[in-house]
Amino acid sequence: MNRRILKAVASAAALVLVVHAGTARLSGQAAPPARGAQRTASARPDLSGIWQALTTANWNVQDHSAEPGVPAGTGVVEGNEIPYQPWALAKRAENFKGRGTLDPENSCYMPGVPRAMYMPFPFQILQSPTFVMIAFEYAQTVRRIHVDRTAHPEGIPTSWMGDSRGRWEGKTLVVDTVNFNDQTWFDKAGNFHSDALHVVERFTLRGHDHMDYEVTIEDPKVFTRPWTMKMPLYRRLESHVQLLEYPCVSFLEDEYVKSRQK
Amino acid sequence: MSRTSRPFITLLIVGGVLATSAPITGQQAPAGAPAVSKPAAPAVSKPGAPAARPSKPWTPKRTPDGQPDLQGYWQTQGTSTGRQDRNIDLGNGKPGGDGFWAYGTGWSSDQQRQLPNNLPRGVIDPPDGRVPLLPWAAAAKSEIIDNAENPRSLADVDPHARCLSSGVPRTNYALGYVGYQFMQSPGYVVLYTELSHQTRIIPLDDRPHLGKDIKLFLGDSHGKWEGNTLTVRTKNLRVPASTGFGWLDMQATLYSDQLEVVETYTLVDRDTIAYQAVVTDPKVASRPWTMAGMFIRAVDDYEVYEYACHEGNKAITNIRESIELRNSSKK
Repeated sequence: MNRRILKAVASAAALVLVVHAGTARLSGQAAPPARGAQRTASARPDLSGIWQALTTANWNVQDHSAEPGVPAGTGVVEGNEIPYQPWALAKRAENFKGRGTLDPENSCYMPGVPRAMYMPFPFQILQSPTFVMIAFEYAQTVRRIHVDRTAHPEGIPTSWMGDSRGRWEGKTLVVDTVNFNDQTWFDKAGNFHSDALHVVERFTLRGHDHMDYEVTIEDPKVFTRPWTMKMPLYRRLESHVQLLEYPCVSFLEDEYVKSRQK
Repeated sequence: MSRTSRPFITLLIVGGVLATSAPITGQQAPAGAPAVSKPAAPAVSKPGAPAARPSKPWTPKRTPDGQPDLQGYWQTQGTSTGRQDRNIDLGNGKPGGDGFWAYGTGWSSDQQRQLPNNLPRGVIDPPDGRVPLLPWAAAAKSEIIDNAENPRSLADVDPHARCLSSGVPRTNYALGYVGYQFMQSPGYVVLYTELSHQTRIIPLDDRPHLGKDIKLFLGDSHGKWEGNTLTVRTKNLRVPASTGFGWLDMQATLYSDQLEVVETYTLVDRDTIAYQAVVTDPKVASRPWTMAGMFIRAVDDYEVYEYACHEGNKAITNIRESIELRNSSKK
Protein backbone atom coordinates (compact mmCIF):
# COMPACT_ATOMS: atom_id res chain seq x y z
CA MET A 1 0.00 0.00 0.00
CA ASN A 2 2.76 2.41 0.95
CA ARG A 3 4.55 1.59 -2.25
CA ARG A 4 1.41 2.43 -4.19
CA ILE A 5 1.22 5.81 -2.49
CA LEU A 6 4.85 6.50 -3.25
CA LYS A 7 4.35 5.51 -6.85
CA ALA A 8 1.34 7.78 -7.14
CA VAL A 9 3.18 10.66 -5.50
CA ALA A 10 6.19 10.14 -7.73
CA SER A 11 4.21 10.03 -10.95
CA ALA A 12 2.09 13.02 -10.00
CA ALA A 13 5.19 14.98 -9.04
CA ALA A 14 6.76 14.06 -12.36
CA LEU A 15 3.61 15.25 -14.11
CA VAL A 16 3.80 18.58 -12.28
CA LEU A 17 7.43 18.97 -13.23
CA VAL A 18 6.79 18.15 -16.86
CA VAL A 19 3.83 20.48 -17.10
CA HIS A 20 5.70 23.21 -15.30
CA ALA A 21 8.74 22.83 -17.50
CA GLY A 22 6.49 23.13 -20.52
CA THR A 23 4.96 26.29 -19.13
CA ALA A 24 8.32 27.84 -18.42
CA ARG A 25 9.57 27.07 -21.89
CA LEU A 26 6.41 28.34 -23.48
CA SER A 27 6.54 31.69 -21.73
CA GLY A 28 10.08 31.90 -23.04
CA GLN A 29 8.59 31.89 -26.57
CA ALA A 30 10.24 28.75 -27.87
CA ALA A 31 13.79 30.00 -28.19
CA PRO A 32 15.60 28.72 -31.28
CA PRO A 33 17.94 25.83 -30.56
CA ALA A 34 21.24 26.93 -29.08
CA ARG A 35 24.18 26.95 -31.47
CA GLY A 36 26.04 23.69 -31.23
CA ALA A 37 22.95 21.79 -30.17
CA GLN A 38 22.86 18.93 -32.63
CA ARG A 39 20.33 16.65 -31.05
CA THR A 40 16.60 17.02 -31.16
CA ALA A 41 14.42 16.26 -28.18
CA SER A 42 13.99 12.74 -29.51
CA ALA A 43 17.79 12.32 -29.44
CA ARG A 44 18.01 12.21 -33.24
CA PRO A 45 20.63 14.33 -34.97
CA ASP A 46 19.18 17.78 -35.58
CA LEU A 47 19.35 18.59 -39.29
CA SER A 48 17.19 21.68 -39.03
CA GLY A 49 18.48 24.91 -40.48
CA ILE A 50 19.20 26.59 -43.80
CA TRP A 51 21.56 24.65 -46.07
CA GLN A 52 23.00 24.86 -49.55
CA ALA A 53 25.19 22.76 -51.81
CA LEU A 54 28.22 24.49 -53.31
CA THR A 55 28.81 22.44 -56.42
CA THR A 56 28.37 22.98 -60.13
CA ALA A 57 26.20 19.85 -60.30
CA ASN A 58 23.13 21.79 -61.41
CA TRP A 59 24.98 22.64 -64.64
CA ASN A 60 26.39 19.14 -65.03
CA VAL A 61 26.67 16.35 -62.47
CA GLN A 62 29.73 15.02 -64.34
CA ASP A 63 33.18 16.55 -64.93
CA HIS A 64 32.90 19.55 -67.23
CA SER A 65 34.92 22.50 -68.51
CA ALA A 66 33.70 26.06 -68.23
CA GLU A 67 31.46 27.56 -70.90
CA PRO A 68 29.98 31.04 -71.03
CA GLY A 69 27.81 31.30 -67.91
CA VAL A 70 28.79 27.81 -66.76
CA PRO A 71 31.49 27.37 -64.10
CA ALA A 72 33.85 24.43 -64.62
CA GLY A 73 33.42 21.62 -62.15
CA THR A 74 34.62 18.28 -60.97
CA GLY A 75 31.68 15.92 -61.10
CA VAL A 76 29.73 14.59 -58.14
CA VAL A 77 29.11 11.16 -59.70
CA GLU A 78 31.14 8.35 -58.12
CA GLY A 79 33.55 7.21 -60.86
CA ASN A 80 32.18 10.02 -63.08
CA GLU A 81 30.43 7.59 -65.47
CA ILE A 82 26.65 7.28 -65.54
CA PRO A 83 25.70 3.73 -66.60
CA TYR A 84 23.16 4.59 -69.32
CA GLN A 85 21.57 1.90 -71.44
CA PRO A 86 22.57 2.46 -75.11
CA TRP A 87 19.25 4.06 -76.17
CA ALA A 88 19.38 6.31 -73.12
CA LEU A 89 22.91 7.46 -73.87
CA ALA A 90 21.70 8.59 -77.30
CA LYS A 91 18.77 10.41 -75.71
CA ARG A 92 21.09 12.08 -73.23
CA ALA A 93 23.24 13.33 -76.16
CA GLU A 94 20.11 14.73 -77.81
CA ASN A 95 19.07 16.42 -74.57
CA PHE A 96 22.55 17.94 -74.26
CA LYS A 97 22.32 19.40 -77.76
CA GLY A 98 18.95 20.99 -77.09
CA ARG A 99 19.57 21.85 -73.44
CA GLY A 100 19.14 25.59 -73.97
CA THR A 101 15.41 25.09 -74.53
CA LEU A 102 14.71 21.55 -73.32
CA ASP A 103 15.91 21.85 -69.72
CA PRO A 104 12.75 21.59 -67.58
CA GLU A 105 14.18 24.33 -65.34
CA ASN A 106 13.25 26.75 -68.14
CA SER A 107 9.58 25.99 -67.46
CA CYS A 108 9.89 26.64 -63.71
CA TYR A 109 8.82 23.12 -62.89
CA MET A 110 9.75 21.76 -59.51
CA PRO A 111 13.21 20.32 -60.09
CA GLY A 112 12.70 16.76 -58.80
CA VAL A 113 15.04 14.79 -56.56
CA PRO A 114 17.97 15.00 -56.17
CA ARG A 115 18.32 18.11 -58.39
CA ALA A 116 16.49 20.32 -55.90
CA MET A 117 19.21 19.55 -53.35
CA TYR A 118 22.04 21.02 -55.43
CA MET A 119 20.44 23.89 -57.32
CA PRO A 120 22.21 27.16 -56.51
CA PHE A 121 19.53 28.16 -54.00
CA PRO A 122 19.29 27.55 -50.25
CA PHE A 123 16.76 25.27 -48.62
CA GLN A 124 15.48 24.94 -45.08
CA ILE A 125 15.12 21.66 -43.22
CA LEU A 126 12.38 21.58 -40.58
CA GLN A 127 12.29 18.54 -38.38
CA SER A 128 9.88 16.96 -35.93
CA PRO A 129 10.15 13.48 -34.45
CA THR A 130 7.95 12.01 -37.20
CA PHE A 131 8.26 14.40 -40.11
CA VAL A 132 10.91 16.27 -42.06
CA MET A 133 9.95 19.11 -44.35
CA ILE A 134 12.46 20.58 -46.78
CA ALA A 135 11.39 23.94 -48.19
CA PHE A 136 13.36 25.32 -51.11
CA GLU A 137 13.86 28.93 -52.09
CA TYR A 138 13.47 27.88 -55.74
CA ALA A 139 9.92 27.98 -57.14
CA GLN A 140 8.22 27.25 -53.80
CA THR A 141 9.42 23.69 -54.13
CA VAL A 142 8.93 21.51 -51.08
CA ARG A 143 9.64 17.96 -50.00
CA ARG A 144 7.46 16.32 -47.38
CA ILE A 145 9.20 13.36 -45.78
CA HIS A 146 7.32 10.99 -43.49
CA VAL A 147 9.67 9.61 -40.82
CA ASP A 148 7.11 7.40 -39.13
CA ARG A 149 7.79 3.87 -40.42
CA THR A 150 5.00 4.14 -42.98
CA ALA A 151 5.47 2.61 -46.43
CA HIS A 152 5.04 4.30 -49.80
CA PRO A 153 1.33 4.29 -50.56
CA GLU A 154 0.20 2.24 -53.53
CA GLY A 155 -1.54 3.63 -56.55
CA ILE A 156 -1.10 7.36 -56.07
CA PRO A 157 -0.39 9.57 -59.09
CA THR A 158 3.21 10.33 -60.05
CA SER A 159 4.61 13.65 -58.97
CA TRP A 160 7.49 16.07 -59.48
CA MET A 161 9.04 15.58 -56.04
CA GLY A 162 8.01 11.96 -55.42
CA ASP A 163 6.77 10.25 -52.30
CA SER A 164 9.45 10.27 -49.58
CA ARG A 165 9.70 8.02 -46.52
CA GLY A 166 12.60 8.51 -44.13
CA ARG A 167 14.14 6.42 -41.38
CA TRP A 168 17.07 6.84 -39.07
CA GLU A 169 20.01 4.45 -39.38
CA GLY A 170 22.09 5.47 -36.39
CA LYS A 171 23.11 9.07 -37.06
CA THR A 172 22.07 9.00 -40.70
CA LEU A 173 18.68 10.02 -42.07
CA VAL A 174 17.93 7.70 -44.97
CA VAL A 175 15.20 8.90 -47.33
CA ASP A 176 13.63 6.58 -49.88
CA THR A 177 11.70 8.27 -52.69
CA VAL A 178 9.63 6.86 -55.54
CA ASN A 179 6.55 7.87 -57.53
CA PHE A 180 8.24 10.37 -59.80
CA ASN A 181 7.08 11.54 -63.20
CA ASP A 182 9.58 11.44 -66.08
CA GLN A 183 9.62 15.21 -66.65
CA THR A 184 12.68 16.33 -64.70
CA TRP A 185 16.41 16.20 -65.41
CA PHE A 186 19.33 15.77 -63.02
CA ASP A 187 21.09 18.85 -64.40
CA LYS A 188 21.18 21.38 -67.25
CA ALA A 189 23.31 18.94 -69.27
CA GLY A 190 20.44 16.61 -70.14
CA ASN A 191 21.04 13.77 -67.68
CA PHE A 192 17.61 12.24 -67.23
CA HIS A 193 15.51 9.44 -65.77
CA SER A 194 12.16 7.71 -66.27
CA ASP A 195 9.13 7.32 -64.02
CA ALA A 196 10.79 4.15 -62.65
CA LEU A 197 13.25 6.35 -60.76
CA HIS A 198 14.02 5.25 -57.22
CA VAL A 199 16.19 7.57 -55.13
CA VAL A 200 17.82 6.73 -51.80
CA GLU A 201 19.49 9.62 -49.99
CA ARG A 202 21.66 9.57 -46.91
CA PHE A 203 22.04 12.71 -44.78
CA THR A 204 24.81 12.49 -42.18
CA LEU A 205 25.76 15.45 -40.01
CA ARG A 206 29.55 15.83 -39.86
CA GLY A 207 29.67 18.89 -37.63
CA HIS A 208 27.35 21.74 -36.76
CA ASP A 209 27.83 23.41 -40.11
CA HIS A 210 28.12 20.69 -42.70
CA MET A 211 26.72 17.31 -43.56
CA ASP A 212 27.50 14.57 -46.02
CA TYR A 213 24.89 14.03 -48.69
CA GLU A 214 24.93 10.81 -50.67
CA VAL A 215 22.31 9.79 -53.18
CA THR A 216 21.88 6.51 -55.04
CA ILE A 217 19.95 6.56 -58.30
CA GLU A 218 18.19 3.47 -59.53
CA ASP A 219 16.11 3.37 -62.72
CA PRO A 220 15.99 0.03 -64.55
CA LYS A 221 14.37 1.66 -67.60
CA VAL A 222 17.32 4.01 -68.16
CA PHE A 223 20.45 2.72 -66.40
CA THR A 224 22.20 -0.66 -66.34
CA ARG A 225 22.91 -0.46 -62.58
CA PRO A 226 22.42 1.93 -59.64
CA TRP A 227 24.88 4.80 -59.39
CA THR A 228 25.78 7.30 -56.71
CA MET A 229 26.45 11.01 -56.26
CA LYS A 230 28.11 12.56 -53.20
CA MET A 231 28.63 16.11 -52.02
CA PRO A 232 28.68 18.08 -48.80
CA LEU A 233 25.83 20.39 -47.81
CA TYR A 234 26.81 23.56 -45.97
CA ARG A 235 24.90 25.48 -43.36
CA ARG A 236 24.28 29.12 -44.30
CA LEU A 237 25.86 31.13 -41.52
CA GLU A 238 25.00 34.73 -42.37
CA SER A 239 23.62 36.38 -39.26
CA HIS A 240 20.19 37.23 -40.71
CA VAL A 241 19.92 34.33 -43.12
CA GLN A 242 16.34 33.49 -43.95
CA LEU A 243 14.71 31.48 -46.69
CA LEU A 244 13.43 33.93 -49.31
CA GLU A 245 11.62 33.28 -52.61
CA TYR A 246 12.62 32.80 -56.21
CA PRO A 247 9.11 33.07 -57.73
CA CYS A 248 9.96 31.45 -61.02
CA VAL A 249 6.42 31.16 -62.40
CA SER A 250 5.86 34.87 -61.87
CA PHE A 251 9.07 35.64 -63.78
CA LEU A 252 7.91 33.39 -66.60
CA GLU A 253 4.74 35.46 -66.82
CA ASP A 254 6.67 38.76 -66.80
CA GLU A 255 8.96 37.46 -69.52
CA TYR A 256 6.02 36.37 -71.61
CA VAL A 257 4.25 39.70 -71.25
CA LYS A 258 7.43 41.56 -72.23
CA SER A 259 7.98 39.35 -75.26
CA ARG A 260 4.46 40.12 -76.50
CA GLN A 261 4.91 43.84 -76.06
CA LYS A 262 7.92 43.99 -78.39
CA MET B 1 -12.69 7.45 -2.10
CA SER B 2 -9.97 5.56 -0.30
CA ARG B 3 -7.52 7.35 1.87
CA THR B 4 -4.54 6.18 -0.08
CA SER B 5 -5.52 7.99 -3.23
CA ARG B 6 -5.83 11.38 -1.60
CA PRO B 7 -2.21 12.56 -2.03
CA PHE B 8 -2.41 11.57 -5.65
CA ILE B 9 -5.57 13.59 -6.19
CA THR B 10 -4.08 16.57 -4.37
CA LEU B 11 -0.99 16.52 -6.54
CA LEU B 12 -3.07 16.16 -9.65
CA ILE B 13 -4.99 19.26 -8.67
CA VAL B 14 -1.74 21.15 -8.06
CA GLY B 15 -0.49 19.91 -11.39
CA GLY B 16 -3.72 20.90 -13.03
CA VAL B 17 -3.58 24.39 -11.58
CA LEU B 18 -0.03 24.84 -12.81
CA ALA B 19 -0.98 23.46 -16.16
CA THR B 20 -3.84 25.87 -16.59
CA SER B 21 -2.19 28.90 -15.04
CA ALA B 22 -0.97 31.63 -17.35
CA PRO B 23 0.22 31.60 -20.01
CA ILE B 24 -1.73 28.53 -21.01
CA THR B 25 -5.08 30.00 -20.10
CA GLY B 26 -7.53 31.38 -22.57
CA GLN B 27 -9.24 28.49 -24.26
CA GLN B 28 -11.62 30.62 -26.24
CA ALA B 29 -10.69 34.27 -26.37
CA PRO B 30 -7.53 34.63 -28.43
CA ALA B 31 -5.46 36.58 -25.94
CA GLY B 32 -3.17 37.67 -28.70
CA ALA B 33 -5.85 39.24 -30.84
CA PRO B 34 -4.34 42.40 -32.22
CA ALA B 35 -5.47 45.74 -30.85
CA VAL B 36 -6.92 46.84 -34.16
CA SER B 37 -9.28 43.91 -34.32
CA LYS B 38 -12.62 43.60 -32.68
CA PRO B 39 -12.65 41.44 -29.60
CA ALA B 40 -12.44 37.95 -30.97
CA ALA B 41 -14.85 36.35 -28.58
CA PRO B 42 -16.82 33.68 -30.38
CA ALA B 43 -20.18 34.95 -31.46
CA VAL B 44 -23.07 33.23 -33.11
CA SER B 45 -22.55 34.08 -36.74
CA LYS B 46 -26.16 34.01 -37.82
CA PRO B 47 -29.37 34.39 -35.94
CA GLY B 48 -31.09 31.07 -35.67
CA ALA B 49 -27.86 29.13 -35.96
CA PRO B 50 -27.81 25.92 -33.95
CA ALA B 51 -26.69 26.28 -30.36
CA ALA B 52 -22.99 26.37 -29.69
CA ARG B 53 -21.32 23.19 -28.61
CA PRO B 54 -20.64 23.25 -24.89
CA SER B 55 -17.08 24.39 -24.35
CA LYS B 56 -15.09 21.95 -22.30
CA PRO B 57 -11.80 22.86 -20.65
CA TRP B 58 -9.16 21.57 -22.98
CA THR B 59 -5.39 21.65 -22.86
CA PRO B 60 -3.51 20.77 -26.01
CA LYS B 61 -0.50 18.49 -26.16
CA ARG B 62 2.88 20.21 -26.26
CA THR B 63 5.64 19.91 -28.83
CA PRO B 64 9.13 19.10 -27.50
CA ASP B 65 9.91 22.84 -27.36
CA GLY B 66 6.72 23.62 -25.44
CA GLN B 67 4.42 24.96 -28.16
CA PRO B 68 0.75 23.98 -28.15
CA ASP B 69 0.74 21.12 -30.65
CA LEU B 70 -1.42 21.84 -33.70
CA GLN B 71 0.36 19.41 -35.99
CA GLY B 72 -1.50 17.31 -38.49
CA TYR B 73 -3.80 17.75 -41.45
CA TRP B 74 -6.52 20.35 -41.56
CA GLN B 75 -9.11 21.81 -43.89
CA THR B 76 -10.33 25.35 -44.12
CA GLN B 77 -13.88 26.43 -43.47
CA GLY B 78 -15.82 29.65 -43.37
CA THR B 79 -13.09 32.22 -43.93
CA SER B 80 -14.07 34.60 -46.70
CA THR B 81 -13.92 38.14 -47.96
CA GLY B 82 -17.50 38.56 -46.91
CA ARG B 83 -20.70 39.50 -48.64
CA GLN B 84 -20.32 40.42 -52.24
CA ASP B 85 -22.66 42.49 -54.30
CA ARG B 86 -21.88 40.53 -57.40
CA ASN B 87 -20.36 37.19 -58.12
CA ILE B 88 -18.60 35.56 -60.97
CA ASP B 89 -20.36 32.28 -61.51
CA LEU B 90 -17.71 29.79 -62.53
CA GLY B 91 -20.17 26.97 -62.74
CA ASN B 92 -19.89 25.53 -59.30
CA GLY B 93 -20.84 28.47 -57.20
CA LYS B 94 -23.88 29.72 -55.47
CA PRO B 95 -24.27 33.36 -56.42
CA GLY B 96 -25.15 35.70 -53.62
CA GLY B 97 -24.73 35.21 -49.95
CA ASP B 98 -21.34 34.96 -48.41
CA GLY B 99 -18.50 35.89 -50.66
CA PHE B 100 -16.54 32.75 -50.55
CA TRP B 101 -19.20 30.81 -52.26
CA ALA B 102 -17.38 28.95 -54.96
CA TYR B 103 -15.09 26.87 -52.83
CA GLY B 104 -14.75 26.27 -49.16
CA THR B 105 -18.31 25.17 -48.69
CA GLY B 106 -17.21 21.75 -47.62
CA TRP B 107 -15.50 18.68 -48.91
CA SER B 108 -17.16 15.35 -49.59
CA SER B 109 -19.80 14.61 -47.03
CA ASP B 110 -18.22 11.39 -45.82
CA GLN B 111 -15.23 13.41 -44.69
CA GLN B 112 -17.23 16.16 -43.12
CA ARG B 113 -16.94 16.67 -39.41
CA GLN B 114 -19.56 18.44 -37.45
CA LEU B 115 -18.65 22.09 -37.58
CA PRO B 116 -18.65 24.28 -34.52
CA ASN B 117 -21.33 26.92 -34.92
CA ASN B 118 -20.07 29.25 -32.26
CA LEU B 119 -17.16 30.61 -34.25
CA PRO B 120 -17.45 33.73 -36.39
CA ARG B 121 -17.15 33.48 -40.16
CA GLY B 122 -16.69 35.85 -43.04
CA VAL B 123 -15.94 39.55 -42.65
CA ILE B 124 -16.67 40.36 -39.01
CA ASP B 125 -15.40 43.92 -39.11
CA PRO B 126 -16.77 46.25 -40.45
CA PRO B 127 -20.17 45.14 -39.18
CA ASP B 128 -21.79 45.30 -42.63
CA GLY B 129 -19.63 42.33 -43.65
CA ARG B 130 -18.04 44.07 -46.61
CA VAL B 131 -14.43 44.85 -47.38
CA PRO B 132 -14.12 48.67 -47.06
CA LEU B 133 -12.66 49.16 -50.53
CA LEU B 134 -11.58 52.61 -51.66
CA PRO B 135 -13.72 53.83 -54.59
CA TRP B 136 -11.06 53.11 -57.21
CA ALA B 137 -10.65 49.53 -55.93
CA ALA B 138 -14.41 48.96 -55.89
CA ALA B 139 -14.60 50.24 -59.48
CA ALA B 140 -11.67 48.08 -60.58
CA LYS B 141 -13.27 45.03 -59.02
CA SER B 142 -16.55 45.72 -60.75
CA GLU B 143 -14.86 46.19 -64.13
CA ILE B 144 -12.86 43.00 -63.76
CA ILE B 145 -16.02 41.05 -62.90
CA ASP B 146 -17.72 42.55 -65.98
CA ASN B 147 -14.88 41.24 -68.11
CA ALA B 148 -14.31 37.93 -66.36
CA GLU B 149 -15.67 35.87 -69.23
CA ASN B 150 -13.65 37.74 -71.83
CA PRO B 151 -10.55 39.08 -70.08
CA ARG B 152 -9.11 42.23 -71.60
CA SER B 153 -5.68 41.45 -70.29
CA LEU B 154 -3.92 39.39 -67.66
CA ALA B 155 -5.10 41.89 -65.06
CA ASP B 156 -8.58 40.38 -65.51
CA VAL B 157 -7.37 36.86 -64.73
CA ASP B 158 -7.21 35.52 -61.20
CA PRO B 159 -3.57 34.93 -60.18
CA HIS B 160 -4.68 31.45 -59.05
CA ALA B 161 -5.55 30.62 -62.65
CA ARG B 162 -2.04 31.80 -63.57
CA CYS B 163 -0.55 29.45 -60.95
CA LEU B 164 0.93 32.33 -59.02
CA SER B 165 1.14 32.29 -55.27
CA SER B 166 -2.09 32.87 -53.36
CA GLY B 167 -0.42 35.41 -51.11
CA VAL B 168 -1.34 35.88 -47.47
CA PRO B 169 -4.01 35.46 -46.19
CA ARG B 170 -5.58 33.89 -49.30
CA THR B 171 -3.62 30.66 -48.81
CA ASN B 172 -5.87 30.05 -45.81
CA TYR B 173 -9.10 30.00 -47.77
CA ALA B 174 -7.62 29.02 -51.09
CA LEU B 175 -9.84 26.10 -51.98
CA GLY B 176 -12.16 24.07 -49.82
CA TYR B 177 -11.04 20.75 -51.17
CA VAL B 178 -7.30 21.09 -50.67
CA GLY B 179 -5.54 20.20 -47.47
CA TYR B 180 -3.32 21.99 -45.02
CA GLN B 181 -0.59 20.63 -42.82
CA PHE B 182 0.68 22.25 -39.67
CA MET B 183 4.13 21.05 -38.69
CA GLN B 184 6.21 22.31 -35.79
CA SER B 185 9.99 22.31 -35.62
CA PRO B 186 11.73 23.83 -32.57
CA GLY B 187 11.27 27.60 -32.84
CA TYR B 188 9.00 27.38 -35.90
CA VAL B 189 5.46 26.78 -37.01
CA VAL B 190 5.20 25.60 -40.60
CA LEU B 191 1.91 25.96 -42.46
CA TYR B 192 1.83 23.97 -45.67
CA THR B 193 -0.91 24.63 -48.20
CA GLU B 194 -1.51 21.77 -50.62
CA LEU B 195 -2.56 24.17 -53.40
CA SER B 196 0.59 25.10 -55.33
CA HIS B 197 2.79 23.63 -52.55
CA GLN B 198 2.93 26.90 -50.65
CA THR B 199 4.90 26.65 -47.44
CA ARG B 200 4.84 29.36 -44.81
CA ILE B 201 7.76 29.07 -42.39
CA ILE B 202 6.89 31.15 -39.33
CA PRO B 203 9.72 31.80 -36.87
CA LEU B 204 8.78 32.36 -33.22
CA ASP B 205 11.85 34.26 -32.10
CA ASP B 206 12.38 38.01 -31.90
CA ARG B 207 14.29 38.49 -35.14
CA PRO B 208 13.66 41.78 -36.96
CA HIS B 209 11.41 41.88 -40.03
CA LEU B 210 13.14 41.88 -43.41
CA GLY B 211 14.16 45.19 -44.91
CA LYS B 212 11.50 46.93 -46.99
CA ASP B 213 13.26 46.16 -50.28
CA ILE B 214 12.72 42.41 -49.96
CA LYS B 215 9.27 41.39 -51.14
CA LEU B 216 7.89 37.87 -50.98
CA PHE B 217 4.59 36.44 -52.25
CA LEU B 218 4.07 34.74 -48.89
CA GLY B 219 5.54 37.72 -47.07
CA ASP B 220 7.76 37.80 -44.03
CA SER B 221 5.82 36.21 -41.17
CA HIS B 222 6.68 36.29 -37.48
CA GLY B 223 4.73 34.34 -34.89
CA LYS B 224 4.17 34.44 -31.14
CA TRP B 225 2.28 32.05 -28.90
CA GLU B 226 0.12 33.46 -26.13
CA GLY B 227 -1.81 30.71 -24.45
CA ASN B 228 -3.39 28.62 -27.18
CA THR B 229 -3.28 31.47 -29.68
CA LEU B 230 -0.61 31.90 -32.31
CA THR B 231 -0.43 35.47 -33.56
CA VAL B 232 1.32 35.89 -36.91
CA ARG B 233 2.33 39.28 -38.32
CA THR B 234 3.10 39.35 -42.03
CA LYS B 235 4.67 42.17 -44.02
CA ASN B 236 6.86 42.55 -47.13
CA LEU B 237 4.19 41.08 -49.38
CA ARG B 238 4.88 40.96 -53.09
CA VAL B 239 2.39 41.43 -55.93
CA PRO B 240 2.69 40.17 -59.52
CA ALA B 241 4.78 42.67 -61.49
CA SER B 242 2.79 41.99 -64.66
CA THR B 243 -0.46 43.31 -63.21
CA GLY B 244 0.57 45.40 -60.19
CA PHE B 245 -1.95 43.92 -57.74
CA GLY B 246 -2.76 40.61 -56.16
CA TRP B 247 -6.24 39.22 -55.58
CA LEU B 248 -7.65 38.35 -52.15
CA ASP B 249 -10.41 36.22 -53.63
CA MET B 250 -11.83 34.98 -56.92
CA GLN B 251 -13.75 38.23 -57.27
CA ALA B 252 -10.89 40.63 -57.79
CA THR B 253 -10.75 42.11 -54.32
CA LEU B 254 -7.30 43.53 -54.95
CA TYR B 255 -4.34 43.92 -52.65
CA SER B 256 -1.21 46.02 -53.00
CA ASP B 257 2.38 45.73 -51.86
CA GLN B 258 1.36 47.82 -48.83
CA LEU B 259 -0.67 44.92 -47.46
CA GLU B 260 0.01 43.88 -43.89
CA VAL B 261 -1.80 41.05 -42.16
CA VAL B 262 -2.13 40.07 -38.51
CA GLU B 263 -3.56 36.59 -38.10
CA THR B 264 -4.60 34.67 -35.02
CA TYR B 265 -4.83 30.89 -34.90
CA THR B 266 -6.53 29.73 -31.71
CA LEU B 267 -6.68 26.06 -30.81
CA VAL B 268 -10.23 25.76 -29.53
CA ASP B 269 -10.27 22.00 -29.18
CA ARG B 270 -8.47 19.04 -30.66
CA ASP B 271 -10.23 19.41 -33.99
CA THR B 272 -10.76 23.16 -34.34
CA ILE B 273 -8.55 26.17 -34.90
CA ALA B 274 -10.41 29.48 -34.84
CA TYR B 275 -8.86 31.79 -37.43
CA GLN B 276 -8.95 35.54 -37.83
CA ALA B 277 -7.01 37.91 -40.05
CA VAL B 278 -6.83 41.67 -39.75
CA VAL B 279 -6.06 43.08 -43.17
CA THR B 280 -4.50 46.52 -43.53
CA ASP B 281 -3.85 47.92 -47.00
CA PRO B 282 -4.04 51.72 -47.23
CA LYS B 283 -3.72 51.69 -51.05
CA VAL B 284 -6.86 49.59 -51.40
CA ALA B 285 -9.06 49.84 -48.31
CA SER B 286 -10.23 52.83 -46.28
CA ARG B 287 -9.51 51.09 -42.98
CA PRO B 288 -8.30 47.78 -41.55
CA TRP B 289 -10.86 45.00 -41.74
CA THR B 290 -11.13 41.55 -40.23
CA MET B 291 -12.11 38.19 -41.63
CA ALA B 292 -12.77 35.06 -39.63
CA GLY B 293 -13.18 31.36 -40.16
CA MET B 294 -11.66 28.14 -38.95
CA PHE B 295 -9.55 25.14 -39.68
CA ILE B 296 -11.13 21.75 -39.01
CA ARG B 297 -8.93 18.73 -38.41
CA ALA B 298 -9.09 16.34 -41.35
CA VAL B 299 -10.17 12.75 -40.96
CA ASP B 300 -7.60 10.40 -39.46
CA ASP B 301 -6.19 8.84 -42.61
CA TYR B 302 -6.12 12.11 -44.52
CA GLU B 303 -3.04 12.84 -46.59
CA VAL B 304 -2.12 15.73 -48.85
CA TYR B 305 -0.69 15.11 -52.29
CA GLU B 306 1.42 17.20 -54.60
CA TYR B 307 -0.67 19.93 -56.22
CA ALA B 308 1.97 21.25 -58.59
CA CYS B 309 -0.14 23.67 -60.67
CA HIS B 310 2.57 23.33 -63.33
CA GLU B 311 -0.11 22.78 -65.90
CA GLY B 312 -0.59 26.48 -65.44
CA ASN B 313 2.94 27.38 -66.37
CA LYS B 314 1.62 27.01 -69.90
CA ALA B 315 -1.81 28.44 -69.09
CA ILE B 316 -0.36 31.92 -69.27
CA THR B 317 0.45 31.36 -72.96
CA ASN B 318 -2.97 29.89 -73.61
CA ILE B 319 -4.87 32.59 -71.75
CA ARG B 320 -2.93 35.35 -73.44
CA GLU B 321 -3.37 33.83 -76.87
CA SER B 322 -7.08 33.38 -76.38
CA ILE B 323 -7.36 37.02 -75.33
CA GLU B 324 -5.52 38.09 -78.47
CA LEU B 325 -7.54 35.81 -80.68
CA ARG B 326 -10.76 37.21 -79.28
CA ASN B 327 -9.57 40.79 -79.65
CA SER B 328 -8.53 40.25 -83.26
CA SER B 329 -11.83 38.58 -84.15
CA LYS B 330 -13.71 41.60 -82.79
CA LYS B 331 -11.91 43.96 -85.14
